Amino acid sequence: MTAHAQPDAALLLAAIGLPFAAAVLVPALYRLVGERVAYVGAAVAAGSLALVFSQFDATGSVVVDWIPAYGIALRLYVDGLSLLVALLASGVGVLVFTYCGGYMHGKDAQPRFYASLLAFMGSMLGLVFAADLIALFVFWELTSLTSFSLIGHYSTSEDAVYAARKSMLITVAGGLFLLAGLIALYSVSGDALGARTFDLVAMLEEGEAMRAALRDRGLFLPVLGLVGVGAAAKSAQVPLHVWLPDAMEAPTPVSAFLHSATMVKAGVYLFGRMRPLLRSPEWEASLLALGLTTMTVGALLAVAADDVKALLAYSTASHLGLITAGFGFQSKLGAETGAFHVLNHAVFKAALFLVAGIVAHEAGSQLLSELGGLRRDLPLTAGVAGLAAVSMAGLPPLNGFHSKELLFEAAYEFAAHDGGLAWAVPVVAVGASAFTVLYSYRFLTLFLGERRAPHLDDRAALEHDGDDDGDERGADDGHGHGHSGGHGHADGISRPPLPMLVGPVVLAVAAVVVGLRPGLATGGVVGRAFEAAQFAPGATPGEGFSVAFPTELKPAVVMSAVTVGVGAAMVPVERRVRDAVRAVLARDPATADFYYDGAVDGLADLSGAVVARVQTGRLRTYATWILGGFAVLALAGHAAADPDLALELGDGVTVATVLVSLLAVLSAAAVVRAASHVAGVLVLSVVGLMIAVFYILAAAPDLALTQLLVETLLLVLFLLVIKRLPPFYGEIDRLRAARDGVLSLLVGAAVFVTVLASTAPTPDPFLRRRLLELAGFGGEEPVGFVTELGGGANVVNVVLVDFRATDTLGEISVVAMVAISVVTLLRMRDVGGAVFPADVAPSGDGTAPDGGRAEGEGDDATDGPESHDGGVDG
Amino acid sequence: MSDEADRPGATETDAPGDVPTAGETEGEGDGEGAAAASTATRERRETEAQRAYVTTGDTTVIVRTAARIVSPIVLLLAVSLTIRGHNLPGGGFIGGVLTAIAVVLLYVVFGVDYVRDRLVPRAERWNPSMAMVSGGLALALAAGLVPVLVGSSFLEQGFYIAPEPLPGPFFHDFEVASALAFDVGIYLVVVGGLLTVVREVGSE
Repeated sequence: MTAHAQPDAALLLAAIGLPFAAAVLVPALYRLVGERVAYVGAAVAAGSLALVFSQFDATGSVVVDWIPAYGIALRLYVDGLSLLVALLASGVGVLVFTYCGGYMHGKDAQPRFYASLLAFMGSMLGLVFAADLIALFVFWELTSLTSFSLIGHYSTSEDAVYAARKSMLITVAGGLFLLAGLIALYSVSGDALGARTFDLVAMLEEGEAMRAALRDRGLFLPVLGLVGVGAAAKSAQVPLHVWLPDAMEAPTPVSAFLHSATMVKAGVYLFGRMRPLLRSPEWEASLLALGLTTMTVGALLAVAADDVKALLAYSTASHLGLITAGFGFQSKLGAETGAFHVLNHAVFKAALFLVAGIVAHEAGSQLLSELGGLRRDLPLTAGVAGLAAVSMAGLPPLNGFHSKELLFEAAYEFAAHDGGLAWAVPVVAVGASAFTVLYSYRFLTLFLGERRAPHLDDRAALEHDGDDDGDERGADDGHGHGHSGGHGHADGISRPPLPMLVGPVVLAVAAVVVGLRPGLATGGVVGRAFEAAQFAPGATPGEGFSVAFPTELKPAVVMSAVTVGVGAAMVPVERRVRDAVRAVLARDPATADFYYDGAVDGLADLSGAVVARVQTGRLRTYATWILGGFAVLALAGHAAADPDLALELGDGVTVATVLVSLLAVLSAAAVVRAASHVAGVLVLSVVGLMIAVFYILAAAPDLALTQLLVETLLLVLFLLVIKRLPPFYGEIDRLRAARDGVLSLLVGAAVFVTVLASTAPTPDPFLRRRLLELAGFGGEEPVGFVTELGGGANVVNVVLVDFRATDTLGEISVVAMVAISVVTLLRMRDVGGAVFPADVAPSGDGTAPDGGRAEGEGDDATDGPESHDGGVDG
Repeated sequence: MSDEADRPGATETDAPGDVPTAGETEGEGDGEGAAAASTATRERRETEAQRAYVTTGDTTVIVRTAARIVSPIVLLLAVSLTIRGHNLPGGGFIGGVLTAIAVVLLYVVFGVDYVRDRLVPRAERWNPSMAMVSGGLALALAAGLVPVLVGSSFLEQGFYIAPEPLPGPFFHDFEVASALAFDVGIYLVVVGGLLTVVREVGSE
């Protein structure tokens, strides 16, 4: 582990890219191998795990160019922290995919499920290795996107849709905060590092200088806040934790994977990653407050929960709070706590989620109030649950004990050092941990006490629910023959199939091994993760740290004893504690959901109100808002930028141009006075023609051609609709005329100022010569195949297709999008909710003989609202 | 149904080839008639005859004859503008708009469905304007990606000027610019895009 081999870029890229490539292939594979695609997923995860493992001895960064013009690279950085989370993501991934092979049997939309899960794993790996701010952000958002798809997997369930949207809104909004923070870091890096860079490693190396530069600019607290909000949203810190319990709508393996081992870890990973950069008293204060609050609130909510998965979700929030608090401490002990608990929590929590999935799958319920005493039906599962729950409670000799001891030590040192109010920190830590003991006990009541389960009470449920699955699985798949249909079957509870047991058992064994031999972890990857979170890159001593079972009476041991004592004392009065918490939660303003739902509903109402005013279905209203918006924004922009205006007349002014312009102005006035559409359109095209003539006089033949053609096209289009318009204009009332007048003045002013501002900087005469040279003229005639030059005499066109061809590509993409949008809007507007009453016309329904056209339906929708008629000549 | 009466005899005599497609034109008219009837309460409702103006081409012989002569010339001009764009005023955008004008002129004079049935083989199977949009976009993208494949940067263009003297019918400068492929892509997208919009909105 002291090795400093350079990481291999190709292998790292393969580790990240493999899951993405597999995600693309999953739909095809699913056709070939069916549900066994789960094991393909497990193999892919194992491949990534092996590739990550191959980099185990490496430290440092490798750079793969991405957008060199902007200094953005796919910079991959390998250190303990990234290795730890990457190993967790791919390692737990293997177990979860294997588990899916049993759990997802017979479920819908499996290709999408596995593709999303694989893509998620790839994003997670990309995220932890990314050391470029932009790449980091891209992978960060990718995890949100894929998790959206996974949480909303049961897309017909209202709850799942609500949960998916909630997690999306919260984590993506958090991501935007993070983006703002990263951009601030980028802008400051110029002061500290000499040149602006997106390179996170360089920033971490110069943490001191970066902090100083941030403080100079007054950006330290904003950056801390922005990055903190982003990470807190992802790792479900109070009060942004609300999405996590709802996310339990996802299939259980997803909960085990995303919401224990990986995605939520992305948030705390970021805290660990940024720690060397932002570590300061402010960092300590804010993260301790955040982490300890989350720890306590999460633990209380977990105690009150009835749904097993909800209990685990709140417990996850609570433990993430512990990690956050750990990374919050400035001391070494803090980094040790955070790094170690990342591993420990992933191990026991993934195991517990998988156990919960087995219970729900086999017993037909996941409510604590309906379940109990399952130890005889699911003995192995019960054993795993026992070990994992004891670890969660932080009892020796399991792994959870060590990291909790570290937290207590760190808290005690902090309090002893700072004194006074700082004593609240260890007290709160002990209190929250006591509740942890309590809800760990509650989880175990699944297996303890009187034997209860819906499948036992209700024989009818046997016929068509979970047990059916059990039989089919035994018959079809050949997996888990030895387990399904065991002795429990007669009672309605069959044992889980083998694939579903592998994961929990492996994780429980890991919990025991790390508990008994913590040195395996702390001297290895966890130790390196601690160093990554504690020291700047390159400055690590490479020794890790060590923990052991306490042999003397230290303060932390006393705190642990108090924790267990208080927790155990609460067990008999558990029901009262639970009722008390529930009584508080019964009041709306006490729940974060109340604010979330209020905000979302409020935004929806606001949006509805705005739409009702802006989108009236009348062309006039649209034009008013669009033109008014354009004019106001443009004028405001000019006012803010305060550009030079071209107030003198240029050289090009001749008698001819003045005459042509005058004619254009006169025609424009005539348009307003025109009595009929025909006259109006004809006079309007005079304006256009005059402008074309003006272009010709100004030696711009391409512009003139375009102007003429557009005029012609408009005229021809007008012919298409002329019969459908009333022959003469009606009278409009004065108020409306006045409003339109003001609007046209505004638009005119905006265009006028824009022209003045944009023509003020006269281009260097050299520019013209340079363009001609680049086009290949004016110099020597080139012969043969040349790419440096444009090779055309029409500079306008050469600019369009060569010098600025990417812009042109963008423009034609917009044209294509417009065409697609028009088709979509006009043809599909009867699909789904109709907005306008006129659209409710029955389309087709037998009266329209299919004229040989597949899209015959679309054409039936002829009677759109009037705006569509008007839209033609717009 | 009701549309049948409005189908002008002139179309049939003037364009005998129209007969096989009559069924389809009727079909479309039918649907429209049904939809219109269901919203009979609307104030500004066109008569069937007015609607037929757009769909079946109820226009005078003069206009039809003129359009027949003018549109091929316009189309030819459009193609030439596109090709010469690199060295003289023109280019994909301009050529595309001009082509669209020529086709829209035909739409106005002969009706949208008639033009599609006569000009597009197996028109019921595909949507030529959308095909032009996607094909053009693909061509433009390919024009960008091919240079990448040969080690140049995205959308880097090149040109070849043959050394003189040239064999065969060529004389003086003979230049082939790779930008032409990109320009043709632009042309296709513009034509397809404009015609899609006109057709969709026009059939409303």
